[in-house]
Amino acid sequence: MTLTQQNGQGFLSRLRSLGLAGLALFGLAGTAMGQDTIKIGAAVSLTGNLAREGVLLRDGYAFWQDALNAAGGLKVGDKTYKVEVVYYDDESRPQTSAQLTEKLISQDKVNFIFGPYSSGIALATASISERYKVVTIAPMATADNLFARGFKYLFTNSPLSGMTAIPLIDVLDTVSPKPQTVAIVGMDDLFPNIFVEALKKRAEDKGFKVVYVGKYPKGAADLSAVVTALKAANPDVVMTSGFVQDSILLIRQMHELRFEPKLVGSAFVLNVPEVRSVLGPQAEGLVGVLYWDPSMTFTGPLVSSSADYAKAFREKFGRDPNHTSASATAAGIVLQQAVQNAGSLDNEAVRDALRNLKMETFFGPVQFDQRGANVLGPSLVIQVKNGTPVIVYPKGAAATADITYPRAAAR
Amino acid sequence: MITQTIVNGLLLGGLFGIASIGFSIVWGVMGVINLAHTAFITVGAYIAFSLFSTFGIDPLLSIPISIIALFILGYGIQTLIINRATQTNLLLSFVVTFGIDLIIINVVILLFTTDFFSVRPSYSGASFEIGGVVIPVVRVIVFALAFLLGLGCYLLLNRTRLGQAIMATALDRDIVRTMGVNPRRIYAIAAGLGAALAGAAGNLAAIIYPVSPFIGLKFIGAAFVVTVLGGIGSVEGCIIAGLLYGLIQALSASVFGVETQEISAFLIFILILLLRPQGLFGKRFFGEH
Repeated sequence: MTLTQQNGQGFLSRLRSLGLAGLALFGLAGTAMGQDTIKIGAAVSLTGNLAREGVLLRDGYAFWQDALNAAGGLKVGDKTYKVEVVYYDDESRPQTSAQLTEKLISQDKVNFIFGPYSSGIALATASISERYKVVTIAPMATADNLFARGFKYLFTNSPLSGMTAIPLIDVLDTVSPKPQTVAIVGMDDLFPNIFVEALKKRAEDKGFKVVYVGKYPKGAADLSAVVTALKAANPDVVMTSGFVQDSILLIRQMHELRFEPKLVGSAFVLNVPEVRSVLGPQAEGLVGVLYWDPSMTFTGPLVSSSADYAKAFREKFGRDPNHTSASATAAGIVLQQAVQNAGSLDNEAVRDALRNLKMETFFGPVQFDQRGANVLGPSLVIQVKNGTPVIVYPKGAAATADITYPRAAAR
Repeated sequence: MITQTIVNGLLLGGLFGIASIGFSIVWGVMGVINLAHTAFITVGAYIAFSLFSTFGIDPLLSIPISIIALFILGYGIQTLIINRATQTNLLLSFVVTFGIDLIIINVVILLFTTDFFSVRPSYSGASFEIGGVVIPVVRVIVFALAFLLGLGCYLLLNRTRLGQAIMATALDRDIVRTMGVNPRRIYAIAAGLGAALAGAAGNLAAIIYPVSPFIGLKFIGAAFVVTVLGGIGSVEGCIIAGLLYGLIQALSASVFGVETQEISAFLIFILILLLRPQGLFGKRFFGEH
C-alpha cells in the first residue's frame, strides 16, 4: 500500500515537473516576444466543487485582459504595457492554491495576483502573496474575518458579507407602515452565521425589534420546528440566511404551515434562477440581495456601463454575465487604475495607490479601508415581481421599482 | 404550539419510516448495509418528477411505477453485482454499495444536471386547520401512504409464503436450501423489495422537497437511526421508530432550540439503545450473520 502510494506520488510529481518545464518554456517565449507585458497570476478553480464559480471568475479576468489590450494596453509612466493573466487550476483546494500562488510569484514572476473563488481558498492565496509582498485583488473573497487578519496586500472590490446584509434591513425603513418586528433565521454555517449576525446588528441599530433569532443544522430534513417557532414569535418580517436547498424548504414549509409574514427576505438565494421556478407562486414578493445587475447605472473606465458589459460579455462568451464575472472584470479595472496612479509596477507603490484610490467602475464605487475592504461596495435589494426579480433598493444605483409591502400572501 | 409540534413530528416521522423500511429489510435479511439506499430514493424522486413534468402524471399516481421500476433495479443489482461480490466477504458489500451509490447519483447528474426541480401538484401548499393546528394536505397524504405501504409490507412478510421464505432465509440461509428455497433468489427479491420501498419514499419526498441529486441524502441519518431503533429487519419497528424519531426531533427542537434538533434526537437514540440494544422491536438473531 505504502509502496504504491509513493510510486503514485513519484509519478504525479514527475508529471507536475514536466508540466512546469513546459510552462516555464512557454513563459520564456512569452517574455522574449513582448518585453512590455504586465503579468497577473490567477489560480482559480477550474475543476472540483467550485469549478462553476471558478470559470465565471476566469471569464471575468479574461474579459478585462482582452478589453484592455484591445484598448491599447496599460500606460505606466511613459511606457505602455500589454497585460496577460496567467491561470492555474487550484482544483478547488486551498493547499493547491497556496502552492500555485508560490509558483506564480517565484517562477512565473507575475507582477500581481488575482484571487480565487471563495474566502476559504483566498486565505491560502493571500497568506503566500502576503509573504512575497505581492498585491492581491480577490473579488470573490468577502468573509469579514479574512479582512480582520491584518493582511497588507489583500484587497477586494466587492462588499464584505457583513455589509451586504445592511441594505436588506435598510429597505425596511422605506416602506410604510414601517414594520416593527423582525425575525432572523439561518443555517448554522460560516457564511450564514456572519450574515445572521450582521442582519441582527443592523436591525437593532435601526430600531427594529428582533423577536427571534434561530439557527438550524446543516442538511436538516425538516424545518417545521423553525416555522412553528417563527409563527409563535409572529414577526412582521422574516429574514433568512441560508443556501439554496434549505431556503426552498423553509419558504415552502412556511407556506404549508400558513405562516405569511408581511415580507420574507433571503440572502443570495434568489440569484439562482431555478429557485424561482421551484418555488413557483411562493417566490412572489420574496426579497434578496445581489452585488451586480446589468441594469446598474454606475460608470467607469474601460467598461462604460453595466449594460455595455452585459452585451459585450454575451458576444464574447455566448451567455449572460453574473456578478462573479462582473466583479472579476472590475477587479482588473481597479488594479489598472491603481497602477496608473502609482506610475510604477512596484508593489509597495501600487498598494499605496490602492489605499488612496477613490473611483467608480461599472460595478460600483470603490474606496478601500485599511483592511483592504471596499467600504463603498454596493449591494442591491431585489424583489420577485410577477416571477422576475427587479431591483427595489437602493434608489439611484440602478433602474428600480418600488418594493411591494406587505407582499401578497402566496396562494 | 405543543400540539402543532407533535403533529409536525408525527407527519415527518411517517416519511422517515417509509424511507427506512427497505434499508432495514435488506440489512435484516442479508446483513448488507446498503449504502446505495439513498440513491434509490433519489431515483424514485426523479421518476415522479419526470412523469409529472413530461406527462403531467400526478406524483401520487406515479408511485406504482416507481415501485416497479425500482424493484427491477434492486433485483438486478442484487443478482448481477451484490450476490457475487458478497460471496467472499459480507463486508465487501460496503464498498460495492458505496460504488453503486456513486454511479447512480452521477448518472442522475448526467441526465438531469445538478439543477433543482419541483413537483407541484395542485394540492401542494394547501393545508387545513383543526383547533388551531395547521395540517399540510401533502404531508397527511404522504403520511397515510407511508403507513399503508408499511402495512402492506408487513403483511407480505408475515402472511405470505414468500414472506415466510424471506424471514426463514434471514434466520438461516443454509437450512432453507433443504426446504427448497433458493437463498440467492430470496436475496434478490428482498433487495428488490427494499429498493421498491425506497422508490416509493423518493416519489413521496419529491412532493415535499426540491428534487435534486442529493434529495436521498436527507434520509441517510434517519435510515440508520430508525432501522437500529426499530430493530433491524422489523417493519412494524421501522414505522413506530420513524414516528418516534420525527417526534423526538420536533420536540427537542421546540424545547432545546432548533439548532439542537439532531443532536438531542441522537442522544435520546443512544439512551434507548443503552437500555435496549436490540432496538424496540428487534429480535436478537436478526441481522446477525
